[in-house]
Amino acid sequence: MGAGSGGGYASFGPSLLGNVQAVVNKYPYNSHSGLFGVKGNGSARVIVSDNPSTTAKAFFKDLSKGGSTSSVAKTDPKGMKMTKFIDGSSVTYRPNSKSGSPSVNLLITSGSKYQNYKIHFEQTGWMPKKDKR
Amino acid sequence: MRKIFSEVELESLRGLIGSAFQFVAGPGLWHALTGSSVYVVCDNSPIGVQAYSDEEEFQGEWEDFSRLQLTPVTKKEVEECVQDGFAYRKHMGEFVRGVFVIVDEIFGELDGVKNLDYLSHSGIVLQFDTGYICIAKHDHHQPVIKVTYLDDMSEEQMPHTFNRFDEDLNQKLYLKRTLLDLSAIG
Repeated sequence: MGAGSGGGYASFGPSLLGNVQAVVNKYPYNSHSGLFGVKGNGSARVIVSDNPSTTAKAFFKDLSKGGSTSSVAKTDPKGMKMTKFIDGSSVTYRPNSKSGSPSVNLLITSGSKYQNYKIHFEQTGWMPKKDKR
Repeated sequence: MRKIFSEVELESLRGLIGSAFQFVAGPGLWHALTGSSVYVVCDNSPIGVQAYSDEEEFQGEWEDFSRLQLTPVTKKEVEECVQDGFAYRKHMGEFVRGVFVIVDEIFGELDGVKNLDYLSHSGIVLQFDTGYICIAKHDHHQPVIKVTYLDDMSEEQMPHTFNRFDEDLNQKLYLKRTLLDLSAIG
C-alpha cells in the first residue's frame, strides 16, 4: 500500500503536485514510480547527499512554495513543520527523526492523484540494510 | 501500539452530546477540509482536535504514526478562523445526538508471527438529526485530519483511513474498524 489513486479536489494556483513537477530534475526522481529517491529500508524512500540536513531543508522549501507553513502543533518541541495546500495536499518536515536523518512526508491529494510516502535524507555512502526477512 | 484518547478526553467528547452545534473550524481549513487541527464549536466550550505524528519502530524501521489529541482552544483562535473564512456551519443549531469514536485495529503477522498490534482512535463522528460530521485522521501516518459530512454511518460512507504498511507474501495485515458509542459508556 502507499502510493495509489483516488478522488480529490482539483484546484488552481499553487499546489504540491505542481511543486513536485517543478523539481523532478533537481532531486533524484523515479519517473516510472513517480516517487522521489530510491527504495530505502521499509516503506520509506531515500535521497542521498553530502549534506542531508541542508538537502532536506531545501527540498521542503521547494515543495512548500505557495502553501501555508506552520508548526504541526502549537507547542511542538521537535520542530516538525507542515505546509498545507488548498487541495488538501501537505508536506511535513521532521528535522531529526529517530533514525538520525531528517525526513519529509508527502501527502498528495490532487484531482485523481493520491500519493503518501516518506523520504529519509541520508549521507553519501548510505546503503540499504539487508532484508532481515 | 496504542494511539487512543485518554479517559478524560473521551469524557470531554461525551460532553458534546446534547449541546447545540455551531460550526467546525480550523486554521487553514480550506474547502478540502483537511488540516492538522479542527475545532468543534458548540454552545459550550470549543474543543480542539489536534493531529500529531510520533515515530515508532515497525518492521525494523522508524515509521510515523499519527494520533489525535484534544486540545484547549481559545475564543481568539476560533474568531481568527471565522474571520479567515475557515468555519463550516452545516448542521448549525442542531443538537448533537450522539458522539462516536472510530476505533481501528490493525494486526500484522510476519511469517505467521505477530509483529504489529496497533490500536487507533482514528476519529470522531458527531450525530445530528439530519446527518453526521466525521472528523478523522486522513491516514495512520501523517498529522492530517479530514472533515467529512455523512448521510449515515455505513461502511460505504465512512471515510477510509489510509495506511502505507507493506503487505506481501510474508507480511500479512488484518484491519478491523468499529465505532465506540460514547453515550453507552460512563
